[in-house]
Amino acid sequence: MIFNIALKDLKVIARDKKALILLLIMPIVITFILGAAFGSSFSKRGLDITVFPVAVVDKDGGDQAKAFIEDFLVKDLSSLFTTQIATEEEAFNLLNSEKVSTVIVIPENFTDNINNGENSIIEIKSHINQQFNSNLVSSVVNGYMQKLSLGNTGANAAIETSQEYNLPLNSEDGTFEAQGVIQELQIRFNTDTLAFTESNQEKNKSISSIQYYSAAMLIMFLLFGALRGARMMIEERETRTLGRVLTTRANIATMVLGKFLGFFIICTCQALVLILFARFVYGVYWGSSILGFTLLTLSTIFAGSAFAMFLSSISKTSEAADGLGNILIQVFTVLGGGMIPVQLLPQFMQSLSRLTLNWWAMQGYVDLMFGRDLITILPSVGVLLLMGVLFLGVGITKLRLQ
Amino acid sequence: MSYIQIKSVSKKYGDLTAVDNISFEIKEGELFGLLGPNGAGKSTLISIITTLIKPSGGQILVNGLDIKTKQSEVKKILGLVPQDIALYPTLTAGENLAFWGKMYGLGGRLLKERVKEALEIAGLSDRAKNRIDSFSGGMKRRINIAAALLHKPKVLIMDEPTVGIDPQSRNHILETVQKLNKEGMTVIYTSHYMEEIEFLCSYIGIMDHGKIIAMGTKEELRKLVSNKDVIKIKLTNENDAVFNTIKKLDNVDNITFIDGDLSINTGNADTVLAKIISTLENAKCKIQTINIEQSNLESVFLHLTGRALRD
Ligand SMILES: Nc1ncnc2c1ncn2[C@@H]1O[C@H](COP(=O)(O)OP(=O)(O)O)[C@@H](O)[C@H]1O
Ligand SMILES: [Mg+2]
Repeated sequence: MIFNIALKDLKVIARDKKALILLLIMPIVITFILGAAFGSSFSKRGLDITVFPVAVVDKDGGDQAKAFIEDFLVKDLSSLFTTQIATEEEAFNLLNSEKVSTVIVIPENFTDNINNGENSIIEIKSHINQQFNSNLVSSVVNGYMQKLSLGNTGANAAIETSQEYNLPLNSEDGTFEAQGVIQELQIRFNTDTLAFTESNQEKNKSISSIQYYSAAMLIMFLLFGALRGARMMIEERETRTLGRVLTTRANIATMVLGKFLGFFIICTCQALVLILFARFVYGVYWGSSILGFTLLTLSTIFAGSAFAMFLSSISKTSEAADGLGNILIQVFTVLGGGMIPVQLLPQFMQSLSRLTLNWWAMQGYVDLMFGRDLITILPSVGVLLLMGVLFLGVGITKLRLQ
Repeated sequence: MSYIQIKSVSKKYGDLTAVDNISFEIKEGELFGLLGPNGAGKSTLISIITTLIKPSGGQILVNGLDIKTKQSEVKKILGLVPQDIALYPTLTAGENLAFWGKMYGLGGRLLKERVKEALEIAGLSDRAKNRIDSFSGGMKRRINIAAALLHKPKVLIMDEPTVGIDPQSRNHILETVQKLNKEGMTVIYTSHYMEEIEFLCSYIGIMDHGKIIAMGTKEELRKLVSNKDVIKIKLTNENDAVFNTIKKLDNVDNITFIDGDLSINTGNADTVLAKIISTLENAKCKIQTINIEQSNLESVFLHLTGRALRD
C-alpha cells in the first residue's frame, strides 16, 4: 500500500508539466548559469585556497617532530600554507591577532610515543573565523598521523608475531630490534603518505567555485523538491483524498510513509540529473568515494523529505507550506553556506549554521570533493539521518493528532 | 435487527456542539435518510461513524463491533462517499479506481473486475481512460461513488452525493442507490434536499443543530404535521409589520419569508387564505402567485424548527 501511494504520486508528478520542469529542468538551468559564471575549467578563480600562514609549536624537539615539520609541513605542503616555528606563547599571540589561521601543537614525547608504537595527539588550534583553513590543516595532519599509526599497527603486529615465536624481544637487544622494525615500517608508510599527498595535491587542495556551488544547488534543489512533496501532502488533505485514504485499510502512518517514499524517489531522480549534468558537462569532481557520495546524497534526501513531512504537518494550507517552506529553504541555504561559504558569514549566523541540514550536507560534499573518504563524512551522514528521523517522527505524531 | 447502533454520540468543537448526544439505530438492508440543513452536523456524524474523527463521547457499534476497538474490521464493512469529491484530478477514472481498489486491499484479476464493475455502475465505462479533471461535476460525483463500491461494502454511507450536478446525473445516482439497496446493501444517505430523501428513503432522521429532532418512516413523519397545509405566496413590496399581523391570525402556526417567498403553515388553508390575502392587500403588498401545498418533509422541518430547510 505504501508503494501504491508512492507510485500514484509519481504518476501525478509525471502529469504535472510545471512541476516536472521545476524539478528536473531547473537544476540543469542553474548549473548552466553557474557554469557560465565561473567557467567550466578547474580555474584558479573563485574558492581557491590561497596559501595561508600556520604556526607550529614543537614541545617535543625529537626526530619525529623534525621530520613532521621539515619534511611534511614545510616542504610537502608549501603550496597549501607557510609554516613558521614559534613558542607556544608567540603562536597564540599570532593566532589571536589572526596573523596565522591555525596553530599546530606537537606534544611532548611525540618522538618517543611514536617510536614505542603509542598514539600521540597533535593539537590543532584555530581562530573561529578561520574554520575553513583549519579544517584543511587538520585533515592533512590527520592523514599524516593515520599513516603513522598504520605503520605502528603494522609494527605492533610484527612484534606480537615475533613474541609468539619466543624471540627475546624484551631483552635490551630485543627492544632495539623491535624499534628497528617499527622504524622501517614507518619509513615505508611515510613514503606512501608523501606519494599520496603529492599525487592528489593538485586535485584536492582546492575546490573550484562551480564545484562548490553545484553541491550547494544540489542541496537547495533537493529541499525544493521535498517542499513540493509537502505541498502534495497538504493537497491530499485539502482535496479530501487523505480522509478517503483513511477509510481504506491504510492509516496515517501508511500515508505518510507512502508519500515519503514518493518524494524520496522524485528527489533522487532530481539529484541524479543535477549530479550527472554537472559531472559530464562541466566536469565537476564530486569526490572519489562513490559509496560516500551516494550515502551522503541519500541521507540528505532523507532529511529533506522528512523536513517536508514535518512542514506539511505544521501548515494548514498548501500556500502556507509553500510560503514558509520557501523562506526556510532560503534561510537554510544561506546559513548552510549555499550562497557564500560559511566562514564569510557574520559570526552570529555561523553559530546557527550547524542547526541546518544544509550545513551538514555541505560539509560532507566539501569533504568528499577534497578527496576524503567515507569515514570523514560519517558524522555528517549521522546528523542528517538523525534530523530526518526527528522530523519524520514529529510529523507523523502531529498529523495523527489532527 | 439493528445493524448500526449509535449510542449517545457527541462531538464538540470548542464551544460548538456539532453533534449533540445522538442515539439511534439502523436496520440491516435499510435505506436510511439523514435530512438536515447545512451545518446540522450530518457530515460530522458520518465522519464519526467512519472513524475519521473521534467523538467527544458515546459509542457506535457496527454489526456488533465497537468502531473504537475494531476499527479495521469496521472499515472493511463501510464504504464512504465523501461530501467533497475525493479523487486525483490528473489521473484517469480507471487509474483512480485502481488506486482506491488497491487501498482496499484488492489486486490482480479481482481488482480489474471490480474496477470494470464500478465503471459500469457509474455509467462511465467508455470514459475510463479520461482524466477526472476533464469530467463534468456529475461525472465526477459518479466516480466518487463508484470508488466507494470497489470493496463491496455491506454499508454504503453517502454524504450529500448529489450537490451541484445536472438532472441526468442526479437521476442516475438516485437510481443507482435504489438498485444497490434492493440488492441488499444498507445505505445511509444524507442530504439537505427534501425531495431526494422523500423519494429514496424508507426510514428518515431529521437533524438540526446537532440533534435528531424527529425520526421515523415517511408516513410517521408526515403525521406530525397532519392536517397542516402550507400556503406559499410570491410577493413584492413586503414589510415586517404585515408579517407580524399574519403571524397573529387564528390558525396560522408559523410563517417564513425568504427571497420573496412567503410560507405559511396552517391547520386549515381554506379558513385563513381569505384573511391573509386581504391583510397583504391592505398593506399594499403585491401578490404574484399563490400555492397551497400538502405537507411534506419540508413542512415537517418547518413545523419542528420554525425555519425552512433551505437557507
Ligand atoms: N473541524 C471543525 N472545526 C470546527 N467546527 C467544525 C468543524 N467541522 C465542522 N464544524 C462545525 O460543525 C457544524 C456541523 O458541520 P457539518 O457536520 O459539516 O454539517 P453538515 O454536514 O450537516 O452541513 C457546523 O457548524 C460546522 O461549522
Ligand atoms: Mg455536510
